[in-house]
Amino acid sequence: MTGYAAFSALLVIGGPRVPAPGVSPLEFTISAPTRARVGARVPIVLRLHIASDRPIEAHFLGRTIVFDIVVTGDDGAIVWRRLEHEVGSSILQVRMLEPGETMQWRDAWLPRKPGHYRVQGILPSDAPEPLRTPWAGVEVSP
Amino acid sequence: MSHLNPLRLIVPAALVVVAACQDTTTPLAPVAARVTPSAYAPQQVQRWFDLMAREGLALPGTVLADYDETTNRVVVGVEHAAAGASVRALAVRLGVPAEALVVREMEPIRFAKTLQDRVDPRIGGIQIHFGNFLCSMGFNAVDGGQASFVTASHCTNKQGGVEGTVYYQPLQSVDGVSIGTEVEDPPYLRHVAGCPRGKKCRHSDASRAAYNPGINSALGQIAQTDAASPNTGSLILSTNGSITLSGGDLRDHFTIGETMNKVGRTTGWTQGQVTMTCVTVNVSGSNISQICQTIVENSVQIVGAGDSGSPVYTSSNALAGILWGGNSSGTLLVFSPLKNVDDELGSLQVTP
Repeated sequence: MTGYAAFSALLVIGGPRVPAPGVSPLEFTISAPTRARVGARVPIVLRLHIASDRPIEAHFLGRTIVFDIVVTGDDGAIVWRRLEHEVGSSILQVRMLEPGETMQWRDAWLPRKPGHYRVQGILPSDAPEPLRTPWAGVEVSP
Repeated sequence: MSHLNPLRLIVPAALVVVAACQDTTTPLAPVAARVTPSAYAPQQVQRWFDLMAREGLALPGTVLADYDETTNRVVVGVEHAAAGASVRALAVRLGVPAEALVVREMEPIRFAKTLQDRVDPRIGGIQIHFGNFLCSMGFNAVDGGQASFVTASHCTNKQGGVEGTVYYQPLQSVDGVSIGTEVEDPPYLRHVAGCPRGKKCRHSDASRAAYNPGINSALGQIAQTDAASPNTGSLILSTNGSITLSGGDLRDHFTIGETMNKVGRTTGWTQGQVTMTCVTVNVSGSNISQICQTIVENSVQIVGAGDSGSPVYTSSNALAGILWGGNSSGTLLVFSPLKNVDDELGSLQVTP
């Protein structure tokens, strides 16, 4: 392997260097309750699962892996961002992940107004675009 | 199979064109425009091409082989005249007529080199590797006669304190010979003037590594990408050499709005404007604060994971400091001014 080349982005599969087109060996998912109340913390869990039968080289930002969570309102505007105004070191961590391995990150969001919100997890790396979970919907009642 | 046309061939400019069927060396011009197609049957020339590709490209100094449909000839690219002579001798042995063969001198075709590849001599902005981490080399420096490079303090085994971190370039798996060893990385302390309560502080996130014997480095040089303008994301190294530093800028306060540049292994050459100067910055996820740092911002990404340690320099190519961090969207970077680096690591010679 020539290493962490520019095209490697977040992933490099052990053995063959290029993943099969359209098949992601990583599953990055988000878990959050579908309903919540204003003023009650909403627990959010991000999971990165290695859905591959081979080890995968993954790239992450930070000595302690940095993850971000964004919450948007109905209009798409960001109402909360976990790393808003945070400044961290720009070191790149390289990890070999085993088949079936799952990594997990947790945080909580405190809703301040009722409404319909969408939540997404983000894992920055040296790829041009970070890895993102699908959006999850949260209905916040008064 | 492609036509071998100098106008379409993506290689460095050919040095000389030598056609076996002609007596003289001619200037660069499309071969098809001035060469009559050979009188042989295309299928026969195709078979000669197969022979020459298999046997000819095994010879030292050969670059490529092509069946040029336009001229109905076999074209073999070579690096130098000696290789050309070998190819012609082979053609005679294989029964390929001289009239059906064109031997052309050209530069060898190489992979485009990037900031993440092995670069020799070592210069600022290229990838370095230690443990399970990747960073960028900051700048070369001489300290007490010792050839060294400076990178971020957190690009060592432990931020603050010397643990003898061993560095590779670009990766240990690519080049197993280490390039240098950490020799200087002052500790972070609580009782530093201006240090927030409960935090450990320094004025620079910088460390110094001594080059190992036999490792080449170029003092005062920073990698230059092929990008014509900043913030393109290109990591490909320019074939026009590197950036020569004009000297060290020993300010710790910079002008708001002043343009700053950096070159790093992840986002390449980027540029932004100073928005805050001499600010104390808490490092996310740690109990560390950096005192008197400079913030640079842009509306596009200017920093990414792996850019830690990058050299920051002014519009006049004066070395201004060491990049160590940024925000999550990469539109804001933070660097430690060279003055603070000098104050903590000792006076560094950064240009010849």
